[in-house]
Amino acid sequence: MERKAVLQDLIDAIATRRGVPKKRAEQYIRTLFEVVREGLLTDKFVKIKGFGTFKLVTVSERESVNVNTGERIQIESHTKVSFVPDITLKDVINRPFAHFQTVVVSDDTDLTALEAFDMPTEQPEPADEPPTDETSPADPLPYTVASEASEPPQKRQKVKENFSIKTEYIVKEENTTFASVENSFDEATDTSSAPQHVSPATPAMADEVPTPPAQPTERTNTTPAETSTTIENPVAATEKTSATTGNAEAQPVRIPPQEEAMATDTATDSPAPITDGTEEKSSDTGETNTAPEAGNIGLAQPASAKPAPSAADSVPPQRNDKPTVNWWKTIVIVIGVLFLMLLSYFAGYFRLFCPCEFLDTWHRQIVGPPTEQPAPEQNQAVKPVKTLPDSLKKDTIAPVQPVPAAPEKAPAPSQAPTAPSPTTASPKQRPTAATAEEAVSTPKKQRRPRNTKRKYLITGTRDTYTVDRGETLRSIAEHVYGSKGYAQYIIEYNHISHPDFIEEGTVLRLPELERNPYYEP
Amino acid sequence: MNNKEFITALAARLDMPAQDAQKVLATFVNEFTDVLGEGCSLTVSGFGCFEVKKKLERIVVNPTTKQRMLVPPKLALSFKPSNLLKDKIKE
Repeated sequence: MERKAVLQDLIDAIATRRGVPKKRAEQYIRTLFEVVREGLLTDKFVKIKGFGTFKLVTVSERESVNVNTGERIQIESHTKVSFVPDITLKDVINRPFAHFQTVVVSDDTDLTALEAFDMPTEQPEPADEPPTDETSPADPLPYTVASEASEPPQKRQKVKENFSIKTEYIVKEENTTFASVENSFDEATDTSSAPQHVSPATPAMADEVPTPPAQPTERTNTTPAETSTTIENPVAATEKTSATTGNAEAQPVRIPPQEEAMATDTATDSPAPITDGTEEKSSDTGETNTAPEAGNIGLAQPASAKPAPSAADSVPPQRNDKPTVNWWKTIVIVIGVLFLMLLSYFAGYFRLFCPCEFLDTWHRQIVGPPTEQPAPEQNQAVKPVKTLPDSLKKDTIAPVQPVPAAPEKAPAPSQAPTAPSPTTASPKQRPTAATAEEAVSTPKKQRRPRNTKRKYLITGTRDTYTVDRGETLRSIAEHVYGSKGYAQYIIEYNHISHPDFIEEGTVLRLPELERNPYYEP
Repeated sequence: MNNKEFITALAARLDMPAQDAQKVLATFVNEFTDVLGEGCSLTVSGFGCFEVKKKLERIVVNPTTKQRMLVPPKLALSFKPSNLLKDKIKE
């Protein structure tokens, strides 16, 4: 069924279990079957405990029909081998289904209904209606529904359970077929080939069986009541057509497991129109057998041809609604995402949402450097800084705030001999500060090259500092200015060639820093 | 040929005491049951094919009481003799 075991596997298992070489085990098994064969030939039966009984059975001659030619042929009497497994072996093999129990089907009204259902299987529909013939292999399924419905409710529960378990089993095994309920053993053997054709559709039916118990009962109840016993045949026929419609609906769906629920929906939907059909026919009486049937089949055929529209009347609108909603949703989402992308692009382009950048430019243009001074002692520094640009204004263009520049200018040159580079920097810086305060348009400042790489410019000596034991420039910078990064200004200002080696007791001049308005990060 | 006769025949063929033959037979039956209990099919060349088949559930009628019974599905072991065995038996 699921997989094949080779005799070799068995031999290996025995060899390991018994601790004998494989050759020995193989020889053993071969002789075992040989002995069985010889025993059959001599005694006609071999009984092995725990295994079963092999028997030779004589089959008397019988008549049969050649399937291909249709001729009657005589099958001669012959002997065949029968094997009846031992009861222990039987139980072990049947263990998956061991919990099933035979259930008594007892309901008076349903007996007639069942008979009605059984009729078509005994007399398959004539060939004048091809569609029913096509789908006829699937016919046993509705009978299972009927038999389900006919059972008393307390038993139904159990049967449902059975069915559900069985459906699981069917899912597991591809080639197993769904149950067909016949009233005789012969028919079971006859139709055993039929359900195999149906097997793709059977899982759906298997699901259908537990779900619509209410409706089928109605159906079974109504049909026998309305139709007399004389027109049992038509009723059966309609039931059959209903079966075909059911199958036609089930087959196109093809049911992967997740769609089984849908299939059950369609299946439950199907009985309603079908019962209408039967009522119609009961009013029409039994003579017009074929006409309503044809109508039903006509309904059934489009269903098989176009699965979606006819299969489930209730289902398609839901399906339609969902896609439209999703469509709109997706459009809205896409538009929103596009808009956000566009916005972010422009935001990045203009740097709209970058506060530091914005503040920097704002400060540069409007406020100017002084407020941006980092260290806490800048209050002291404010005075010279403010005055310095003013002094420069005097130098360069028309002064806006006339402030005496000379005293302020004096310290800068005085520092110049001690530290040449900062002094060179400071004159440069002055016009820059001035430009910050004024507009941009003065030509003088544009002529001069600007130091755009440094964030701060050294404007003078703020203080002196004696290096203690264990101090580094960075620690000093952090202590004085609040950040280690200012060490580079100290290094620059004091011309320290080896910043990592500063001696204890060295006197450092701490530079006065001013924000560079032309600093470009 | 019943079980006892079978074991003696087997032991004679294998040149081993009957008790051993019985033990080995027991292990064989156990293994066989295990293999088929998993739903496998087992083919013995020159003898036949053992296969687990699923029998569908059906409704039976008790002829005397007319009572209808739903017989549950079951798994049954089926044996199909090989052509070799068939031919031998025909002779």
